[in-house]
This record gives sequence, structure tokens and C-alpha cells, in this order.
Amino acid sequence: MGGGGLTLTGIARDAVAFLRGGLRAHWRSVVGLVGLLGFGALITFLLGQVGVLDLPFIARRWDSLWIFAWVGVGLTLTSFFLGFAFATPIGLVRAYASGVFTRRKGRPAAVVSFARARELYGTPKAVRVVGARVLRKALVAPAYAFATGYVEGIRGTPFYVQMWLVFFFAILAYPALPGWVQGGVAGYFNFLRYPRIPEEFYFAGLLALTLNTIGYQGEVLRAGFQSVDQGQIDAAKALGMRGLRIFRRITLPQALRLVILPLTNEWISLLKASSILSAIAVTELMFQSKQLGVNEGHPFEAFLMVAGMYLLINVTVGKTAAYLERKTRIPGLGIPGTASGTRRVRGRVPSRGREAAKN
Amino acid sequence: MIRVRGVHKYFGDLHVLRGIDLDVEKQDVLCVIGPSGSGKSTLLRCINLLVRPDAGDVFLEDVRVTAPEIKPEWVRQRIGMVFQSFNLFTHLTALKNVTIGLTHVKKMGKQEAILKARRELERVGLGNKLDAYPAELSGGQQQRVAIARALAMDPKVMLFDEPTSALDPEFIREVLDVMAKLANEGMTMIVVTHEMGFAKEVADAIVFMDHGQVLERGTPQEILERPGHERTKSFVGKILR
Repeated sequence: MGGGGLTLTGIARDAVAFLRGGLRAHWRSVVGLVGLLGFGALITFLLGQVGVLDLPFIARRWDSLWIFAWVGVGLTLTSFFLGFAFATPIGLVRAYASGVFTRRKGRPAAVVSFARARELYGTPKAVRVVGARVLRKALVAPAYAFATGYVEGIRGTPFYVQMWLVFFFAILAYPALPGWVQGGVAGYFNFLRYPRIPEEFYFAGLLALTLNTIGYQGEVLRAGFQSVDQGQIDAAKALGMRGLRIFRRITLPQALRLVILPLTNEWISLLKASSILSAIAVTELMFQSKQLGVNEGHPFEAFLMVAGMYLLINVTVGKTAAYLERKTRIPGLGIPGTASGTRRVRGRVPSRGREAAKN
Repeated sequence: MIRVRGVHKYFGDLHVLRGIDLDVEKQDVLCVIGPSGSGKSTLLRCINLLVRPDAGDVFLEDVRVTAPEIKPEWVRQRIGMVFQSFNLFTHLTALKNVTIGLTHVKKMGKQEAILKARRELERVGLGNKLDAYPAELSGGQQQRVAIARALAMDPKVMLFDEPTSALDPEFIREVLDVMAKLANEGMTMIVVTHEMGFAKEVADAIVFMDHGQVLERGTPQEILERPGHERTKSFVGKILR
């Protein structure tokens, strides 16, 4: 499973190889997993023996957790990807806008005056061309101010506080939303087969998580965009490529590769933040742990079970992200194999720079 | 082929180019020499509009490319550029570095682009490195891929911005050989370089720049052996020693 790009066929091939490989090929990860599970099981068993934990209770009630785990995971997934969509423009503005409106000393750049544009293109097109330019200039500074204010606001306040603000706003605003929006929201949560509670609670939870993650992902993406060397953009321009295409083909793929790790961290943080939504009656894992712990009188068991469930989900996500990192590694760049931890690349040793050149 | 007339460029208060005039005829090789900070790179970047001149004009054949109605992309498609630090797209293989301009700028079909890219890479002696990533290649190989990438666009002119300055000595030759071959095939080239040997052998003319001005222009013999200007004399003296 070397690097060299992410393709569906490549992923399928790796999956088949993984399943075929059996225990022998994966003994390192198996040992790690068995170690983790075994250690947890041993402690749990011992605590059961001394009477602290009610093991039959855990066995009996474990299956009740799945639907609540799914609520947390579903909300997190949805807000993560929604958040990514909105964070991209925020990251872009934060990365590039300051260069546009920072007043440079010296001569202003040569631009087509409106009169000249009218001679060249005729009035309607001149209005469009010059208008678009003026508008762009006029919008950049406010956009930067908004993005920066937003990011600082989200990062500078606790999620718990944000959630309550969003909650009251959402509860008040929800009835005023147009019918098709309400229908869409209700339909989405129905589609996810969530437990039936008034959908504005889910809506409030989703909104709170999304607004929060936009701020964090925006900063992650900003760092990603800024780490792409200016020379890459110069080279693309020199070939005759234009802004949007350069972004799509050069900047974005290079930046995304770099932000897999910080985005994984953000996903994990977000899933854990979703536990706080139990305070606004969203029926996720934390909510169920109160049911099991308080109403059924098994607090130790309940919180241990929930902790175990979170761990299970996040370890799975972490492993997937490590795989993605390995897949998108560029041969020769950086240190091979850091993302995999223990796995070695078999066969061909990746060649690096100068050594490769000599043959 | 290329005419530069009275080009000025400011970076803030810094007056980087102070009225440059330059002519390059079709199939000519012009070498630009001069101390660092003299505006050589900025001049090249003004020609393909990576930097827009504050005053003056640049012509490509009969087109005034500094005219506001000319799109910079139109100009850059017709002028190839090779950078000091290669600037290969790090996330793409050598082959894809070459095809990306063909498929996304020239709108060439994928198969056709691959064939063309292969030819260009073979031309610079890298037919066996198609699937290598830039980080797997030596500096010399990277620079040759960069040359192939620019050549694949069928440019009318090639600009070289100190193409060998970032290379280990052992790799300089292979890049210069490719450039010399290109010159012999009749490519019009403007080369910013400190390689006086190359300039002497390949250049039709050399200009010496200092403080944003062209101080002297002549044949390689004139500039390197009988420099007229005091500054040229001292610069050439230092570099040939």
C-alpha cells in the first residue's frame, strides 16, 4: 500500500489484498488491536470480579447503544462535510485576501479605464467587465473581515456556549422557516432513521456543530492553501492556466494532501463535541448513558460503555485516515511510512532524490 | 519576435526596471547577464506578464501584449518559461507535469497529450522517467522535465530564468546540453544565466544589466572579451576568473 494517488480501483485492490492477506500479513495491527481490546477486557473483567462492574448488565444493554452512536456519527458526518464546503471559501479568503487589499506603495497596477473598455468592448460588456472588477475589489476587504471575525469568534468561545445560543435561535426561528426547508430537515432525519424527537432539536444540534466546525476547518484549510509554494502557481500561470483551474488542479490537491491529518483531528474533536448535544435533548450516546446510568442505576457501566463506543468509532476513523495518508503520499517526498506507524513498504524501497538519479 | 520598449517596474518604492529596451529576432538566443538584484528575473517575468510592467510595452511578433485587452493567458501559452527552482508540480508524475498544460490549456485529447508528452520527455532524454514524481528525480532531471513541460506547449519563445543556478555542478551539463540542442534547432530563447561558457558558445547576443538598466549589448566576443562599460568589465572579470 504505497503512495501514488487515490483512485477507486486502487482502494478496491487494497481492500481485496487486505482481506486476502489474513492474519499473517496484518499481524502487527492485529497485535495492536488485540492488545488494546485485551487490556480493556481484562480490566473490565477484574472490576467485574470484585463487584464494581455489573458485567451481565453491559452484555445485555450494549446493543442499545448502536442507534445513539449512529445519531452522533450521522450528525458529525453531515456537519463535517457541510462544514468543509463552507470552510473552503473561508480558508481561501483568509489565505489570499490580505494580499489583494493591502495597499502597496508605488504605482498602482495598470487597469483598463471604463472609457477605454467602452471603446474596446462596447457599453454592455464594459459595464460587466469593469463592474465585476470594482465589485471584486469592494468585496474583498469585508469578506476578509467577516472570515477573520467568524474564525476568531468560533475559536474563542466554548462550544457549549455556542450550542445554547444556536439552540435558542434555532427553536425560535424553526417555525418561521419555509415549509420545504422544514420538510427537507424532517425528511433527512427520517432518512437517517433517527429516534423520533421533534426535529428542531436535531436541527439545532446539526447547526451548532456545523457552525463550529466551519471555523476550525477554515483555519486548517487556510494553512493548507498557504503551504502551497508560490512557484507552483507561477509555473501553472506560465503554462497559461487561469485562477480557478490552478486552484482545482494545483493548489487544492496539494493542500488537501497536507490537511488530512489536521482534518482527522477535527473530525474526532467534532464527534466528541457531539456528546454535548445531549444537553439540548439530542438523543446521542451521552444522552443514552444518562438513561442507563441514572434511570437504570448503572453509572459506571454506562459511562464505560459509552467511552468504549467513542473509542471504537474514533480508532476506526483514525485507521482510515492513516490509510488515506499512505495512499496520497507522494513518492520521494517526506519520510515514508510515518502515517502507518508500524507497517513497512514491502518490495521496492522508495527511492529518494539524488540516489535515484545516479542509476 | 520579442520587442521590449521602455519598460519600467516598481516594487513599492524600489525602481526595479528603469526603462528597458530589448530586441530578440526569430531563432536568436539572447543571454542576459548581470549581478543579482539587477532586474534580470523581473524583466523575464514582464515578458510573459507574470509581472505587469508599470510603463512601457512588450511585443510578441506584432501583438502588443501589454495592451489591456490582451489576456495574459493568451500570451503565456505562446511563451514557455523555465524557472530557477524548477517548480514542477510536486503532486504529479513527470508525464502528468507535461500533459496538464496540453489537456487543460490546449484542450488536447488525453491520448494525444500523452503521446506528445512522451515525445517531449524523450527529447530531453527522460523517456524512462515518465512515471517518476519530481521528488524522485535529481535536480538536473527535474529541470529537463520542466523544459519538456514548457516545450510541449509549442511556444514561439522560451524564457530561461537562471535554469542551472539551483543545480549541483554534476547536473549542470545535462541541462545546458538540452538547451544548446534547442538553440540549434532554431528555438528563440532569452536566457538569464551565469554560465559564461554557455553564453559564449550558444548566444547570438549578450546584454549586461545592472540596476534595472541595460548597460551594454553585443556579441559574446564583444561583451566577454572587450567589454566597453566599466561595470561590465568588473562583473565579467569577477565571473570569468
